[in-house]
Amino acid sequence: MTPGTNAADAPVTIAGGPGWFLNCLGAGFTVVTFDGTIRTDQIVIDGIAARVLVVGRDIVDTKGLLAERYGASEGTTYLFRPDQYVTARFPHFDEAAIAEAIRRACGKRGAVQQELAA
Amino acid sequence: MSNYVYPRFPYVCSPEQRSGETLRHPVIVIGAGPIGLTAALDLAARGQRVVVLDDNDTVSIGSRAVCYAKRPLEIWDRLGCAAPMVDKGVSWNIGKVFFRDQLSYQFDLLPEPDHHWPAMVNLQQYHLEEILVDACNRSPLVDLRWKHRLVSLKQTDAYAQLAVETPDGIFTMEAQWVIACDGANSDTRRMVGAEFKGQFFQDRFLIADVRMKAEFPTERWFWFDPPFHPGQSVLLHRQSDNIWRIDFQLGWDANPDEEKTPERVIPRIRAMLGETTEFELEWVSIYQFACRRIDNFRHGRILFAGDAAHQVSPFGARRQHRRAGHRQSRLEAGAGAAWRGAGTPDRQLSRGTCLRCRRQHPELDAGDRLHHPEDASEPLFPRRRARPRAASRVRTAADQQRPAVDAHALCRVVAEHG
Repeated sequence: MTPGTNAADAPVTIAGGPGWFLNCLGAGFTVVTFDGTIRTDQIVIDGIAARVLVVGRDIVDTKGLLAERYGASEGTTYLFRPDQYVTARFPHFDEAAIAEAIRRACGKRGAVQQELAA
Repeated sequence: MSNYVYPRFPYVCSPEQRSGETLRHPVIVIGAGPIGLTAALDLAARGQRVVVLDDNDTVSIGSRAVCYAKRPLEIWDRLGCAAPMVDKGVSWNIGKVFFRDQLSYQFDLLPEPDHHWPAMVNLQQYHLEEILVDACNRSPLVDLRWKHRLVSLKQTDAYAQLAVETPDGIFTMEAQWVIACDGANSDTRRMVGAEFKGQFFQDRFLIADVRMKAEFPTERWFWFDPPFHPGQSVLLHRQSDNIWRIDFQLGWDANPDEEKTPERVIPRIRAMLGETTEFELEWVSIYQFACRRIDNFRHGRILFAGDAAHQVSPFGARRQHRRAGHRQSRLEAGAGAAWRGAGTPDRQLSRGTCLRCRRQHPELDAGDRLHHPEDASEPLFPRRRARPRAASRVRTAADQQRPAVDAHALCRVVAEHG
């Protein structure tokens, strides 16, 4: 799933019951990581709090369709916008890179400001 | 003629109009159609107060949009509205294409299991809007104002000033942001002097809502050159309440005023359904396709969304739909404006609504290719799922006459519309 694509849905198990992946997205920025070792609950940058969902901990990919539809391997991490679009994709959970992607998606750039033609 | 009873929403004179005090609202949405109502719900979902102005006091007249695909349903699910739409609507997956009286092509939109929402649901636009209005009325952050017509507007760097007409006269409202969702013939677009450029199709279509108990299965049927409407195309969709939507291609030379009359419409339907089928004509309109877009989605404090911003031809029922990874629906443009608008700096709004520039920032690009609206006329159906029986025969035969519904062949650049 490349950045700019709307998030694909998938059946998942949440808190032991059946659910849908898209219902986990939409309340602000959301990070979803397939790295089961991650302990982080949220990433906060510039006053924006992005919830972190760990596949295995918070949602269970019971049928394997989430990994399949997202081309995920161990460590694959996605950042989703509030409107359920893929904002960024990383091979590993990298908190600094995720934070920078959130800033960029909100128009808060780092050192280099690019003026875009109207 | 119509059995559907259109709701009448109450007109309420606002306290600010009564007192004469000019309030500056954070966001005002112009137009309570599907896009305006969805934008309002999305803003409310983010804790943002919003006022919606509509010059009317009822829902969509006629079935109009009809088809809503999985992606719009996902958006409406995020806003808590999708379940009643699917309950009320008619789901379908199978489409059949006939050439003359032979089935020549069949597709299945969503053969895979493990998807929450159906591939496509048919629902008259008036039912869709009822559901969205109901959701807005339940939200303490959405203020729907009926019979409020935007007459003119001015703007500074910081806000827009709106002259609004109601049954109690004209008064002034201010807004930090305006989202114009007032449709293909947007007055707001005219007020900011924006151009609306692209192409329109030299063809006309008679679209009709017909109430009947019919034997047709719940499938989308399309005919090239059927015996009951030779040389033209016909489209049939089932909707809720035994209302069927039938579209007849009429050609460019058709006279819209004549073709809308029951005297012209009823014989066409009779020819299609036969002498014994009972039916009632609920609603009729003449439609012309166009692919046009506004020059810039942002004009100062005014953001444009929906048909007011970009109009695509509805081939393959794509107007409210977005194919994964390719096209952004009008619905998503409105939703995108909502999350970008709430609390983000001005520069971000400019960037967010400038399509060419978003190529440099793929994380901002929701796959929108609307800088080339004519690309939108690509067919919906995934070719890998096709099981064409006489597809080549269809094309050959169709080439011998004027192509029935071939987006590129039909399209003639006639003029640029401002």
